[in-house]
Amino acid sequence: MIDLDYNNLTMGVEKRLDEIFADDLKSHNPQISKFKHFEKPSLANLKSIIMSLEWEVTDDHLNDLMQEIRRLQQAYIKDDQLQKLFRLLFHIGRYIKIHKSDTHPYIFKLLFRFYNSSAKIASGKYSNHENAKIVNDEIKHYLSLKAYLKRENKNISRPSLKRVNTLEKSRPSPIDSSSKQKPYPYKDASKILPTTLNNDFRELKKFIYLEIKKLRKDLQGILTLIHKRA
Amino acid sequence: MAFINIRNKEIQLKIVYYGPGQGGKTTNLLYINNNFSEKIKSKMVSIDTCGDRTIFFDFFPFDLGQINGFDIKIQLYTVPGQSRYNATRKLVLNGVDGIVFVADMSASMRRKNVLSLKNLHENLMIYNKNIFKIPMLFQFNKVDLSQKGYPILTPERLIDDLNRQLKRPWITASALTGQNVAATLKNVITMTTANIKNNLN
Repeated sequence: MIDLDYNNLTMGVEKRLDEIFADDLKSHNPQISKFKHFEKPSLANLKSIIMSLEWEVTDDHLNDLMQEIRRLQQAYIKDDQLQKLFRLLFHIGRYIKIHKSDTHPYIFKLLFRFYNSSAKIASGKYSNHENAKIVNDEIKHYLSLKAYLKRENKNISRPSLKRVNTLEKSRPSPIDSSSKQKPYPYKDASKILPTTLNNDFRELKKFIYLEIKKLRKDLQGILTLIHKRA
Repeated sequence: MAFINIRNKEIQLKIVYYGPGQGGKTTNLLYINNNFSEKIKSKMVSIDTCGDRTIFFDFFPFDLGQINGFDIKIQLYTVPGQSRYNATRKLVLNGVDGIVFVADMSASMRRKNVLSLKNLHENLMIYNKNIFKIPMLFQFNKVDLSQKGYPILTPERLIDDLNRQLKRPWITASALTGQNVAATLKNVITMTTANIKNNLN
């Protein structure tokens, strides 16, 4: 039987090591960390950033949003469903960064939606299947909004008579004394109008040309079918 | 297993610094050698090196002196981290009592850290040792890189990658500056000494 007092031995070894490394241990003030599960960070900060963004779109808020998303992506690295939502949030953040105050108001609603869904998943109260369903719904929302914005963008980029209206809106108020000195912007509008009409005509022509082409193809198909049957 | 000679009242503990290549295992021992060799009256022996790469292993034996009537001898080893020297790593692990896993905090080393830990697990199994039971400490080395502007892995990420299941103590360190090098050694020796009883049982 070994006659060895293990507890005293361990304490003795620790004491001796403290003596040897005394200066070093003091200067570096080491803190050995016992294993611990890092607590998953809450999404409260994300919510407050989204709220401040809804109030005012500033570069600071946008940077905060992107940073917070990146932090959450790292913290929830193993959660595939949350990662998908964070990626959507990131895309929306990038969209807001480009469009800033011209951002479509529904985008902010979507930000809140995504936040709520993320919070739901992070709470851990739902099954994997339910989480996947939540994320799929959000992806659908995101895609439909993307399609809608694309359509809207096309409409906006197509020059139209609306542009003249905006110029009308921007007509300076007669009360504003400084604006009196400036020339009235209708001159410019008269220049814009023919070019916009020209563009519209060109687009219409293109459209008609494509439609006729399609019709021709269809007719040819029908004719070949008739020939075969005959 | 710790070598205990009752007649000579001597205990020998073998501690191995394990980890991916160029993670700082040899630098750990070099720091101890440069700063404490006079106090512990010993010198590090580096066997076969190629420039700054360990090809065989580093060996650093030292004596803690008489404690509770027993002469405590510590043997520190490093392994070559490069994947091609696995035979040497297996050899060095023979009779290991405690392990310091030196993980590299550089962002680019994430995969290599995981592979090295997996390799340690496999090599320990050859000697019927369980990675979950052997005294082990994680040293997250090269923490100083962040101050120089290099991207590093956060302790959270490293714990998630390496220590989620093992649940071992860990410490951030910089073997180059000596930050927490002595603390790492002190803790692994204490852990290993405390485990002698379990080993005998």
